[in-house]
Amino acid sequence: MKYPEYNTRDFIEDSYFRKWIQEPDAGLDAFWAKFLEEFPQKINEVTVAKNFLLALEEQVKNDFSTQLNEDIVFQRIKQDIENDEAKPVRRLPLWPAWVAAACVVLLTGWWYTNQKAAPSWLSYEMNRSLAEMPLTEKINNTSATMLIKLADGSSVFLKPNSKISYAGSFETESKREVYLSGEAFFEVAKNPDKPFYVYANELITKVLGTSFNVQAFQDDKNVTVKVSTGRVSVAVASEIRNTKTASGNLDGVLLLPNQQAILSRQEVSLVKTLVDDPALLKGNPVNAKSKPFVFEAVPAAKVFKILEQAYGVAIEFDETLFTNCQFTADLTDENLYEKLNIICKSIEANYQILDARIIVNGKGCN
Amino acid sequence: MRSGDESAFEELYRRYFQVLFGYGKRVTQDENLVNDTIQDLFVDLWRTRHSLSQAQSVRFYLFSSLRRKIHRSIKQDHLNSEDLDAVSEEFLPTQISPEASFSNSEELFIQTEQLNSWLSQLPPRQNEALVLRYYHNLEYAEIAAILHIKEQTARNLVQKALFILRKFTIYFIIILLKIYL
Repeated sequence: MKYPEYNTRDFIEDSYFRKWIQEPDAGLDAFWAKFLEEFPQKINEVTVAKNFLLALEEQVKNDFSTQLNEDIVFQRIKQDIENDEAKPVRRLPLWPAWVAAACVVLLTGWWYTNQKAAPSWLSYEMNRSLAEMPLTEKINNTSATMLIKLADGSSVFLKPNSKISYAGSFETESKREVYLSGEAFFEVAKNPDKPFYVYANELITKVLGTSFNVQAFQDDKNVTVKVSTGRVSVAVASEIRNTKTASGNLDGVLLLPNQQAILSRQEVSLVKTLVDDPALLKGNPVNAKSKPFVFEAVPAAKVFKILEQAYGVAIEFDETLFTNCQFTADLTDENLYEKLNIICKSIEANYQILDARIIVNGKGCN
Repeated sequence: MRSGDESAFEELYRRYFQVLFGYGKRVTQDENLVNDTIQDLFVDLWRTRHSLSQAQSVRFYLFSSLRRKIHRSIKQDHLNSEDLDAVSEEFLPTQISPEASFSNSEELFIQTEQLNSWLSQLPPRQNEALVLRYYHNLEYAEIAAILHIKEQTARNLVQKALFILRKFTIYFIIILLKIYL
């Protein structure tokens, strides 16, 4: 055997040694372990050679690009090749199918190369490229919110650093579809025959007529949909539902006012919860009363029910336990969570928020 | 690949994109240029797939074409950039001494990091030769063809870069002695 005579350089030069570092397997591991057992004096050379190759590998990998970039370049290659080969008639229909395929590829390969950066499974550009109609684009580079009136009577309040695309009029299509990058508040005109869809990164929001806010900046970790009025259904784009990391309910959630859906793009999990600052529901009889939140010796169970109606949130509590608790305070100026804190403190209870429900626990009053 | 199989083409692309990108980044900092060049390279490869010689190493073909194409693009901006690159090597500061870089630590695991910083301070051509030889496993003749130098010059580049490794090994022994004594 030649190896006992080797110096560091010889080990680095040896392709069988390099293979052990570059593509180790059980056989190689066993061979080199046995070698070092027999010739322990070679540990220095072997270690330095090994570390050298590892350092080289690390250096090379530092210059690697993102999976997204890899996919984009491949798309361009594929397009060039198709332009070469396909007859002009075939070209157009092929293109969207290819983009869809590229999106799927993007998902499968992602984790191997880039776990550090904010994930971008689906981008505004990718969503846009799936549109069948020519799109109008509005970009808000100002520092103020921009109001955009759509042909169907809906309004979009486009926040700074955001852009949106949509087909000029929604007359010919069966759906109203818009594509968002960044953040916008939507007031959608009711039209049960033409549902309104917002494509924002990986999240698809479907409504008939309502108002809600979508936040989906390309580099953010989360995509968020908050509902102000009406009912909104939110689903994760089908392309990324079956990824390795996907968990939980991805088929969609139904959101009511003061609820939000947050898609964690890293873990691909969709969570429904309450918005940070729930607003009073307009048009609810409770809120039409004067001073609905001035309580004088009101049973806690009733207080919770008033809050439920005023904010349209579900509050779960043991009715028999809390009926005997009396509560007196003026909570007109407090927001929902401040109200809950004060009430819970006075009746020695606590609350938690789980799946957009508020759950109150305590011993009750006797 | 030669059969024109699309999935083989994609597999080839997937296998080489990242290393080609990394390699291109060494030749130019301009990532868009690297992307464009890789795009050209694979489109060319597809178009000429029926005439490719079976014997030629794909790896060699890809690396040499990438480098040649990038240089061709750069040269339209900076004449003779390759020559400049070769000359500057002589004037670059010599490598940090391994003694200096080890002076404050006796931890073995740090060695990879120190090798890393040493690697990044090598003259670009030496570094490139090391990467081609020991990461991409190319033959000296292939490296010489890629870098447009003689085979012996390629060997010398590698030799020169590795010279310092001997000192690393010696120093490593000293560290071991300190630990075990």
